[in-house]
Amino acid sequence: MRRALGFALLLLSAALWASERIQDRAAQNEALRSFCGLLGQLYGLLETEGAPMPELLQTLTERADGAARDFAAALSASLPALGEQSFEALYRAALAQNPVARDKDARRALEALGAVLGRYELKTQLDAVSGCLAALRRELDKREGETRDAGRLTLGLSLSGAALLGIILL
Amino acid sequence: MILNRWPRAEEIRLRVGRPPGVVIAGRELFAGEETVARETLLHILERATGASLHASAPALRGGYISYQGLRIGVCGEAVMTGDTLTGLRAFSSLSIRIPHTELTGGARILDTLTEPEAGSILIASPPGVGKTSLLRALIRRAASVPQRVAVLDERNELSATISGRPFFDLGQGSDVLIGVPKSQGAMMALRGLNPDIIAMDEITKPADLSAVEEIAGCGVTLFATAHGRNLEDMRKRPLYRELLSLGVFGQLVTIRLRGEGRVYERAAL
Repeated sequence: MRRALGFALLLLSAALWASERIQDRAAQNEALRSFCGLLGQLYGLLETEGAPMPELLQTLTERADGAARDFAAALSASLPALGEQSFEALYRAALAQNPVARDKDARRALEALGAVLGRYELKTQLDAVSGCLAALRRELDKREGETRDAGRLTLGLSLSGAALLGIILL
Repeated sequence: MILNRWPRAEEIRLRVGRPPGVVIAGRELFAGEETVARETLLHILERATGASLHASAPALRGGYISYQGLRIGVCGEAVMTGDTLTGLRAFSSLSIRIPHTELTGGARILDTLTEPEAGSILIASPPGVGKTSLLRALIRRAASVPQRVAVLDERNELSATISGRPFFDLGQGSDVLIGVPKSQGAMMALRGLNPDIIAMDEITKPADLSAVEEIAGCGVTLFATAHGRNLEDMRKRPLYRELLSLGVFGQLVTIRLRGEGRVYERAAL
């Protein structure tokens, strides 16, 4: 009876570990998706309204969701320091705190955008936003495909590993 | 740093790959051997536009950006959409004009111009000689008497207002309309602000003349500036010939450089 209970507990902990990994990947994907949404809105706002950066960030904080909203809010809150620090430095600091930055490719694409945003004329900024959006979408597509396959694999491997460990130990 | 070394600097000229220039009394000096980096220009523009260069495109098309009373002229490559200039990129130089609130040798002229019988005043000089500084001082003096002065600050250069607060003191009795074209601003001021005086910087286009006519037609005193060396010079130009023919201004004040100072001359029109 004890052996069966121990075996079940090993399987349960392996399943929980696998589930956590899968959820983590899903949250990362969700963060990327929210940034794709934010960049789409940013492109539209820049193109149609051309409002100054503080107003743009305020609007994005209200309209975006999830990790992207947190980023827009953090960057907006740091704007009073503009002048003491460059916009790019403020942008990078807000990005570094955000879960989306755990994806290296996404981070690189977003950092490249931060070097252009607000600094150059409109067309250059729009090109940078659409370039970054395309890079993030590619990354999201790749990750979503990987998440489906990797989810099954992680769950399968962790359960079979736990079962094997149980057989050896018990 | 430059202002510590040359407190009377009127302009700072920053050209990529060349040493910074400082203009004092109309003459340019070069400040050291160290050359200006493109990154420096970008940093200044980022600060001046609040990281919103795209939102400053209309000002750039007009020739300069205003920032806390500084006039920043920008050179670079044009970005065209069809036949329309939509912006600038690949910035190559900045010309930063520094406003001076103290009038060099201008205290006496201010006393005479703010006498009640002075009437409407036109201030003329070549660019960078001090029209705007004299107009600002004139507004401040008149608005402190106090008279109600409506300021049509089309480019936010006279007041350099930030978040509703003027950077430059324009006196207690001044009200500032920012960014409104003069012709519309004149009507808004006349209808809504009940001014004794209306002040406007740089009459440069035919539409500005209609603002002048509206203001004069309502019996309000006008303070304005225009580009020109003297009356003869102004009469050579059709726009100013028409302006002078309106008979609105009672006084013309011209400003010219002499040494490191200014000479102010007043003439009845």
